[in-house]
Amino acid sequence: MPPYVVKDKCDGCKGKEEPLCEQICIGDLMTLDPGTGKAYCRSLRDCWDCMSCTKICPKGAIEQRIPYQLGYHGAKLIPMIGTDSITWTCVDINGKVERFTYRTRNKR
Amino acid sequence: MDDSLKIGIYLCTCGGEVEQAVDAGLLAKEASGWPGVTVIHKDASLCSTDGIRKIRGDVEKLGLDRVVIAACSPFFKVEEFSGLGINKYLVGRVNLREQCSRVHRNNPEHATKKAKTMLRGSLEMARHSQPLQPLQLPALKSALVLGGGVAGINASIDIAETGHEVFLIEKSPFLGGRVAGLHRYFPRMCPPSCGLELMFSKLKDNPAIHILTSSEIDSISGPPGNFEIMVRTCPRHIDAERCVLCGKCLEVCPQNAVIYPEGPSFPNAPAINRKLCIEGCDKCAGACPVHAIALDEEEKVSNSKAGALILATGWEPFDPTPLAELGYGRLENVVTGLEFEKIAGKHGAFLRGLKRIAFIQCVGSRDERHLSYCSGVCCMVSIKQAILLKEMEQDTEVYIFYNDIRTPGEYEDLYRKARQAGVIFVKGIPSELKPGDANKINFSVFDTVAGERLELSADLVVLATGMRPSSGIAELGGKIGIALNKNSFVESHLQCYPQDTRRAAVFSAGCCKAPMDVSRSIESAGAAAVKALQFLTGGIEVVPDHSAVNTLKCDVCKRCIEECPFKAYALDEKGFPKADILKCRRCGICMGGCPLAAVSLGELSIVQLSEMIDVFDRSYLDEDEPVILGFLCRNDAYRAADDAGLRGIQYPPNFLGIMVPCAGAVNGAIVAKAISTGIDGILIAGCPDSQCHYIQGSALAKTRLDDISNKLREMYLEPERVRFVAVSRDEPEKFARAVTEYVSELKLLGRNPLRL
Ligand SMILES: Cc1cc2nc3c(=O)[nH]c(=O)nc-3n(C[C@H](O)[C@H](O)[C@H](O)COP(=O)(O)OP(=O)(O)OC[C@H]3O[C@@H](n4cnc5c(N)ncnc54)[C@H](O)[C@@H]3O)c2cc1C
Ligand code: SF4
Ligand code: SF4
Repeated sequence: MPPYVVKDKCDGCKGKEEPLCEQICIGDLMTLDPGTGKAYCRSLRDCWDCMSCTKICPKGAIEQRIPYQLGYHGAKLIPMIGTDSITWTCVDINGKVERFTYRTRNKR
Repeated sequence: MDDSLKIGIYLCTCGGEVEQAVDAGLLAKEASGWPGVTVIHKDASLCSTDGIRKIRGDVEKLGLDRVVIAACSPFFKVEEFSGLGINKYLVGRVNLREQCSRVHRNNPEHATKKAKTMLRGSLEMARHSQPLQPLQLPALKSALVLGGGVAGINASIDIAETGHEVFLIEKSPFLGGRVAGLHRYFPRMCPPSCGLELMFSKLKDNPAIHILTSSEIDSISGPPGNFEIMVRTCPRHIDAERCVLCGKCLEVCPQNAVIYPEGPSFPNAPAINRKLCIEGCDKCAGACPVHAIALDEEEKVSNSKAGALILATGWEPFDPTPLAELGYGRLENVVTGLEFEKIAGKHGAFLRGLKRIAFIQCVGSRDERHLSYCSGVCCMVSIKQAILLKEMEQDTEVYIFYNDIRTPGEYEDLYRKARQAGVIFVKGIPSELKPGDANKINFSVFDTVAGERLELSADLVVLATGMRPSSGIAELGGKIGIALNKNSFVESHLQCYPQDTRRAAVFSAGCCKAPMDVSRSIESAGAAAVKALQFLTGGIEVVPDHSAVNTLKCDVCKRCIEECPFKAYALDEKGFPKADILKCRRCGICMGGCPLAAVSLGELSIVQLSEMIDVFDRSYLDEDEPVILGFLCRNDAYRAADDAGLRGIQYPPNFLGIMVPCAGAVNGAIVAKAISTGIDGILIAGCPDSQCHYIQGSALAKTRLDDISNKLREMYLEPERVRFVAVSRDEPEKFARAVTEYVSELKLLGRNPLRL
């Protein structure tokens, strides 16, 4: 299931050319809408749910709709990236919240 | 972690001051076991000669790689602690006195625990610090001044008199600017020719000054210290050296194409506007007795090189036509203040014949629809003109209709003089000017002091029109890369850096920065010249502590380029953003904004902050006590926190303050990491928006924290765990209050669920 860009939050990465989500997407699916200057996924069915765009977006503007095999409506996966850490918040369909913090090797 | 580095820790008790709350002995004992700590020394006065000698000795004998000094605020004893025989960027400071012992006096146990946490963090900061050596960059010794009014002329003379070359670029064919068109100028009431001619002779006599009239900037490139400027010069068509000002060209020209100097001018010769000429006509060339006219001269583009730039492009009068009720352009005897100067100079006889003259103040100025600011000089201008009228012809009745009269300092004398001379001041602005008999102008006005309506008619009405920046300033600003303020004048931080613009080595003087009179224009020109001279020493010494992009991490999203308030960034030859060492002001706003945390400042890196956060004990006070990480901006909040210390204002020890150059320097990934690893609250304290030394740092910090706050909400965490507070330099109470309140709020929220 594809990424969903919250238009109010996205600022098109200000750079006006290739936003981070476009650069990171392995399928080259994300791009800027030249009209609004906001990002969108140009082919929803090709998304692999890797969540790279969700993780990298500095504005927290991209939500991932979880594929039904993993969780029905209501389930959520929310990453928060630190300098050398990532914290995942997992919400299941019953609203149960769990969080996991990992070290990444991102430091330098 | 590099444990092999040898680190010395030096604790100062400041003559017992620190020990009133912090147990320095215990601190020393605990710290001695930390990784890399080679020596730990406690002293009653580290900044004394003996103290410094001790550190220097250790550095030399033990070969210390880093030194950490736990003593007073890093803003004290800077000199002393930078001469320790080790690169000063490898010396860390812990603010034990102002931000620990003095503010937690009634809680020695917790103060000691906080001191330990601070010291542990600083040890890590120091371990990851980098030595920096100043670089010598070559720079040019010449300056370029743009605009040849009183401000530009004086700036040029001031610089040239110190032996530096100056290029003075003037758009019109003559130097002198608006002052050349005045009849007399206040406060001494001298003719402008007197002052201007002195300036012109100084220009002429100084071979270091190169004057280019009828010229404008085409483009500007290069870094501060080495600007390269393309200047486009229209031909004058008249050789100023030969011209004898006989006026024959003016007489024969059928097209009014000869621009003849009206007042004192330099160069003292007319110019020909070829755009107006008829094909093939060369009447003037034939008429000129000294063969000074060359009609085939062509436009030239020249290249000037300069180390610094001064903008002095001046002002232009507000056009009162849109204020239809005042009848300008519709009624014959309604003129502007600037037009009146000409009339006073040339048509004294006409003025003597008039019975009543009315001045209307604040035309366009202090009016939200037009110029929202006070134009500063118009009160004095009308008073000057009224006095001149009274001196010319005692019988003329002169009225000045005003909102407020503003005559600061000795200008009050002229105001008094005008009243003594019989000028009638009426507080109230005429509503509508109507044509009357015999070219008179009728109007009514409500005198708010007398509380009555006056019906009057006047022979001449003078509109004291306001000043606005010269047209073309926006385009010019774009070319040079400087910003304009909300009134379109050249922006500067008026209080702290009045001469600076947003671009390093570009300064402003005179009316292009704000409306001002001649004396203040000349003053500001001198100040700008002094600033410019600092860049003209032939070399610039800079410490490479500017922002640097880690190209292994950078994805070239260009946010840094967009968010840098000083346009310091450009793409390097490999296509990565790179901040120019001379343009960068070390605010760290790019470091705060980079989504990949790939930007660091020389003195404060992402790695340092990240490593420091790692070693903070999340429960240094107690399991139930919240821990707050505070990022305090160097210019205001940190100083306010120091003042809280100096004044002994108490706040809870749950707060750990870290100095950052600007609130905008705090990266979201640092905040995210701190929260993810169990810090309970993040407080960023920066200047109130309008006071931010880096223009938009505080505003950006707020937006970025809002984003994190939203994310926390999505994560079902409390959005209150991040907070921005605006603290001015002089608000230590507010700072202490903000910390105290935040601690209580966080206690109510309970522990951060991510704390292990
Ligand atoms: C009606 C009136 C009367 C006044 N009378 C007095 C008085 O009696 N006493 C007093 O102290 N003050 C007086 N003032 C104020 C005074 O005129 C200003 O203080 C003074 O002109 C400021 O000088 P300046 O050099 O900043 O600007 P200017 O005099 O405006 O000079 C700017 C120069 O820059 C040139 N320029 C503009 N753009 C460019 C460009 N892009 N490239 C190159 N050159 C450019 C212009 O052609 C001009 O020559 C009066 C103002 C008004 C409105
Ligand atoms: S990364 Fe985020 S802010 Fe940047 S363009 Fe994509 S959605 Fe917008
Ligand atoms: S530190 Fe400030 S001035 Fe320097 S490049 Fe970054 S944003 Fe620009």
